[in-house]
Amino acid sequence: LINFQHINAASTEHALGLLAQYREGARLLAGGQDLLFRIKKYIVKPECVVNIKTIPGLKYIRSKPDESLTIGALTTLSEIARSAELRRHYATLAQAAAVVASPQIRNMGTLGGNICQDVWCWYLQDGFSCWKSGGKFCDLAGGDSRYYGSIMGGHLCLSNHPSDTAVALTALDAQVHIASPRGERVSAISDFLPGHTWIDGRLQSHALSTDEIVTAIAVPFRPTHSTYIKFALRKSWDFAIASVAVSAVIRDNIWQDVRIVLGGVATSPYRSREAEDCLRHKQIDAAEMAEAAEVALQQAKPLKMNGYKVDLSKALVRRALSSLGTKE
Amino acid sequence: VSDELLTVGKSVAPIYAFEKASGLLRFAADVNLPNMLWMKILRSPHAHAKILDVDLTAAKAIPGVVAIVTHKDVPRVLFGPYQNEIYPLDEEVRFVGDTVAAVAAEDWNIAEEAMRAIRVTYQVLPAIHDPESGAKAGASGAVLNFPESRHLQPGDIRPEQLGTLGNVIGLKDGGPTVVNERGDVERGLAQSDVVVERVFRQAEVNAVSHEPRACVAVYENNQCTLWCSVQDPYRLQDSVARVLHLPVEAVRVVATNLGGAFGVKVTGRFAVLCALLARATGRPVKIWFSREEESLDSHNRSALVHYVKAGANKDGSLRALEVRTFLDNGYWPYGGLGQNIAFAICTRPIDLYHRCPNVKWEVFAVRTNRPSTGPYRGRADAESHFPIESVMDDLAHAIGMDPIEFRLKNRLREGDDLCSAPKKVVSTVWVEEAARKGAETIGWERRASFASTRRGSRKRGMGMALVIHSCGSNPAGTSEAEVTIDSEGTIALFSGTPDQGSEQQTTLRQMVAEVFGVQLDDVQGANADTATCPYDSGPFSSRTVYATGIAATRAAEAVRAELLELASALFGEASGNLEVGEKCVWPRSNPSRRVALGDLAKRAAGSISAKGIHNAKEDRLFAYGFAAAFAEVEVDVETGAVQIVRLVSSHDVGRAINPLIVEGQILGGAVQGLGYALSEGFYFDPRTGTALNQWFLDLRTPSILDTPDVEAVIIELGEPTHPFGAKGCSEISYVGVAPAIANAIYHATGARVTELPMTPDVVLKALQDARRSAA
Repeated sequence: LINFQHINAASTEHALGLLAQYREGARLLAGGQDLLFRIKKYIVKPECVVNIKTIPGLKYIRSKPDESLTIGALTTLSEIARSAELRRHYATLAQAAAVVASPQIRNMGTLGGNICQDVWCWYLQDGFSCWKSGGKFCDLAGGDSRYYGSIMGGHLCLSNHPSDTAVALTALDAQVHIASPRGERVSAISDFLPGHTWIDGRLQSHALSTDEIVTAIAVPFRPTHSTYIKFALRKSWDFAIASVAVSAVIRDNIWQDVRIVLGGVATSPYRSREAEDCLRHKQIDAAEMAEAAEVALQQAKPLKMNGYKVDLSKALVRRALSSLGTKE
Repeated sequence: VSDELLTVGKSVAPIYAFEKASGLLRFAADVNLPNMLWMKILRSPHAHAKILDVDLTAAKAIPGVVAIVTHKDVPRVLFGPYQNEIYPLDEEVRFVGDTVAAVAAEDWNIAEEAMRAIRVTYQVLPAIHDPESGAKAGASGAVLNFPESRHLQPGDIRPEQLGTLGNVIGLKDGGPTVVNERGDVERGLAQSDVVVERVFRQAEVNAVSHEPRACVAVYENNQCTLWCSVQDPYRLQDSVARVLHLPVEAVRVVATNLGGAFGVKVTGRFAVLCALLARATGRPVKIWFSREEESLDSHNRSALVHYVKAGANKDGSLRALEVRTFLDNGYWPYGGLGQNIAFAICTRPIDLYHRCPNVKWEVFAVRTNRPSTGPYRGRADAESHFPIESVMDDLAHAIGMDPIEFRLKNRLREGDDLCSAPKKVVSTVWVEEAARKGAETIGWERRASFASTRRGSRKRGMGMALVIHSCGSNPAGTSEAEVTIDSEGTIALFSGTPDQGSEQQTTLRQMVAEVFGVQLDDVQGANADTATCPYDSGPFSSRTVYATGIAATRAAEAVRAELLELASALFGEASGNLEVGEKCVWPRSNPSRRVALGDLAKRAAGSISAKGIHNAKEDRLFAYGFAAAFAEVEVDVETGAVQIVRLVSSHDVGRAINPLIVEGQILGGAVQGLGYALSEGFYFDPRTGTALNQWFLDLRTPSILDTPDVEAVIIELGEPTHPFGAKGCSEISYVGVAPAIANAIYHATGARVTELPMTPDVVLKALQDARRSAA
């Protein structure tokens, strides 16, 4: 393990100050479930680890019937999974949080950390020289992409975005609240998770600058129905091979609004507006659900070893849609 | 021994159960000594390379670094777990992760920092990444520098092995490592009513022991002591003695409790280097593997390819079996245990289907630039049963016969000659009983009704597999055991075999207790310490309860005989008229005249002890364990997910010395076999040979949520070659799970899965192929 400074931040301002001071040398520590592994593997070599779990007031779930839902960034995945309010009105998010990794990781891991987590890539972790570790190559294209790899193409790095909650949050049109030295800013989750992007010299899967902190996630959209289906090799402690979040406003059997987002298959949560268009303002039958599933995957261009994810994802989309359709 | 038994056959709690459950039990990693240094190993980033230069300047400059050894600093002496064929360090590195240098430092962090500061210049060499290409004529050598013959000592690599050519382990140029041939396989196939031809591929797998290995070595006064997670302490003792040039008696190895071993925790470089660093520094040195090292610096079950042709007649007789197997043997210069595994692969299934007249099975064990492969739970049989039990199912289907009846018609019978154990005949074969009882337990007849209930994307099926596996009757092993009784009447058993988690010490003590007519608690003892225990080749091949059990029982019986002799003199009664029990001896005619065992021992200079030995070399009868695995599955044909509805594991165990422990072994093996079947694979980048998924998450052992309630069926019909009629049964339940599940998937969907693990991608592809061939 390398040596680094560990500083407990007393407030968001304090943390921002430390980020400004250490710049690229700083890393934020919340639940630590992603960061510590990377430090131990020498993938990340921070000069200073800024512990933000000591910041008061960033751990809450606030929801009112006609207002937006807001969740503090330090809220643990377990708390989200257990929340009766979320399970009732934002089922996709509660369900996604409930199937992240293992109970221990959910008890430690936070929502902010979960959407900011880095890719889980065998090649990166095994020290291959790739786009994310200073090289100019992605081994996944010709290598072993059976579990981790985009089937929707990508820019430079082809690792899929590993988060479960980010998929659900994308289906909820979530907004990410960010504290920065330039004041607070709000970013739509689709802008926050744009696929692999260079930020301050790092190839990241999120758009947070090195001097910023996620403070909260807000959800203005309130679906009547939503669900999250995760397909993984194991029932616990595993990443999704593919997942689907669907949220919808269904009234009198009419699908007034719907969002379909795929996880585990692209460099960011993959929302298919084309598939959504197949369903909007209609009463939906099984054939239309199947049609939407086909449309959702029509852009797929899988790598050498992950072609099976295409049909698998279609099946998940059909199942997610029909689980909503059959519900009153 | 009478039929009325006191402790044998009873499900008494294992002796360390509380310590294990409460975390009190100590393992090698718990050994910490004052003034101890920490050791780390620098590992090769190349699959095959020659070390041109090692620059230690920066590493040695780090405060707290005490010693570093490279290939230039170590004695050029051969050692190894199976035969002496590796040097402590070598100029040539042969897989990504091979040992390059070792560092000892004041703490773990400094050792790691120093390791990272070592600068090595390599000349990268062409590497062999898979056994089939390695076996081709003209392939580059996976190993270039073979051990020098001048370093060979008596008992080392056989001189004829030195002539080995190419990458195929074996004695013949261009030929397979082993071939098992009888009859005329081509004619047999030509004359068969039906012939099935398939190619099977099995991924390499790691044993994923929960405990990563650790070793602490101390060198003082020309004596070396090691506490180590090791299954073969006597082999390690011998290796350390060779490398440190010490008499064997000057090396003491204490094999600590093992958090799972599964055949892979054998003598290795890490422990020998730990001893060398202890000598170099004069301080205790400790190494504790990371999970990644535990995966890399281990023996995995080899990746395999089998080309199979099998023929049968419509009457259900198996006519011909032709197999060509390629086995990835890893970097062993002379093959490690590869030849032995290759032999067992091509002979055991042929023994199970003894009635098949025409056989040709060639195995090519091939050197590659990959981590070493070797024995892991179910050695050779987990390798061979997946293809064989799959084609048995295909043949039964093709001739329209019940898969159980087809198998049983062609099976081994009591007294048959064994091609897997030349000159020996099998003693008992309770395979039919295991199959019938297993079928009854799972409700085999329900299978017929599944077709009508199939709906939606989930299809239900049921499949089975027969299994043969070693159960201790291995002529290569030797077990000694010593039983003592002192003047306090304390009975103790000393055995050299480590307890790898399968509670052998409990079982062995139960057998000793039975001989004396006392309870388990009345037997004490120690094990796996080369300074205090007699030799045992270790807990391999499910041999402890059988082989060490025979040795321990013989020792106990010898002590008992001596006690009776003393009592006979005391009472003036023939020893046949005496009773032993309650730690006393008394004449049957007058039970009130009893003498305590301790008092008898007092008369014999304070204590009595005797040794028992077992070595099966001379025995004509050979014991095998048999099993039948049954799986009921639901296959999601849209996602490729396979859900296990029921898993029944039915076993011929001879007699269960402790049914609780036997059941535990059956369940554990079945769950590990479930991982082999559905989710586990140890993968390597095909271009560089780098291991890709050597951490817990991606090795994907089944979680408890993925594990069905395994139903264990225990068949106890005895085994005449063991004093209590027991057969070993720790590994065998692993073997049948994968083929039983593959056969259940076939029954459910008509798709034949020919690859392990049967992950969703593999299952979906098999379904696609089946649809295509149906269309």
